[in-house]
Amino acid sequence: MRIRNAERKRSFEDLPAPEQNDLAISAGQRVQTIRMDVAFGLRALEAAVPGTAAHVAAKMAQLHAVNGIEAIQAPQPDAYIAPVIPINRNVVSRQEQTAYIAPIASVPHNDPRDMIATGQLAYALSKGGSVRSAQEAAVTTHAATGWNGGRDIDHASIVAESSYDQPEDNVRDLNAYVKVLEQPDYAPVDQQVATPENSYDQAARMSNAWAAVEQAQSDNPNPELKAA
Amino acid sequence: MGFLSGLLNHSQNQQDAQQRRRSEIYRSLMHWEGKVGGELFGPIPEGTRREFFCLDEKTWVWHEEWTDSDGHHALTTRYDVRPNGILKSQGTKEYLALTPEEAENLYTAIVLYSEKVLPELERWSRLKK
Repeated sequence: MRIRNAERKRSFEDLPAPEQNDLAISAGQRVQTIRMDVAFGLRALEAAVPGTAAHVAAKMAQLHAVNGIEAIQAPQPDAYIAPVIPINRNVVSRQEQTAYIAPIASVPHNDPRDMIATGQLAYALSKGGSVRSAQEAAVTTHAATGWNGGRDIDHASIVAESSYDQPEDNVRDLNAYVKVLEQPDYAPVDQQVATPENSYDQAARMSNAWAAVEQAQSDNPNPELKAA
Repeated sequence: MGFLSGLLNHSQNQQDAQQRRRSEIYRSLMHWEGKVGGELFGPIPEGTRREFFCLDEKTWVWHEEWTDSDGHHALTTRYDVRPNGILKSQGTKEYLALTPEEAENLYTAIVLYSEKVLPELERWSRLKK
């Protein structure tokens, strides 16, 4: 009996982690679905309104022209093309970070430029070595601007994680994201007046959620195996 | 016989559990995409919930809920991709053609949406061992 249990354990250990595989499979399906929809949509719109794709492509090119890694857009109302501010990859002080952030703080929240700038800043901070982790880059970005709560941290964190290229953190990030949204008392700060204090508070809640997810995964790494 | 049928049931239960889990993850991903998509269009007014996402290969959904002096409202706009154009419906059986301006706005949103969500989804899809 002991031998059988040992054999069974070895065979279970050989199985890929179900959480990771399930996420990978679902994400792969979503990628396929969205790509098909984008392709179908383009063809359908071109059939209905010839020239749409070219017009949109020109608009997107303008948007991307200022989307370099080492540049952050300075906002100008109603204009996607704007002067760029060079980001020093060796930024070291919080004051300097704030100085770089200030010009983009007036971009309306949820404007695509806001997301791009947030992501660029998180990337610049993480690559500049002035923060120790992608999460810290995201939280610093968010707190320094006093921007709006958990969802900004999510976006910045996801982008910063990409820079670090740590896939396992992305799994944790997604889990944490879902967990935070499911909390009954979750109230995005963007429905309040955003201040550095409540931004930090929101960041702390995200950190707590991450810790909770990690603890849960550590306690029970394979729920289906336990159920069996 | 009892042992064999128990083993088969156990295997079936495991498959069902895995299928349920994948469905939940798939829905979670769409939920995440809907949040990201809803934030592409500028500030969301206080008390408003907005989601924009790709439902399947031929459908995009815009869902918005808000409250005003007349009470709570919810409006779901469905964009159906057809070979010769995109039609929209808003809770009625009637389908409307998009104006050129709406078509361009929709396509811009689709491009932005795919640029925001695809890199993350692709990275997650590569986690498979």
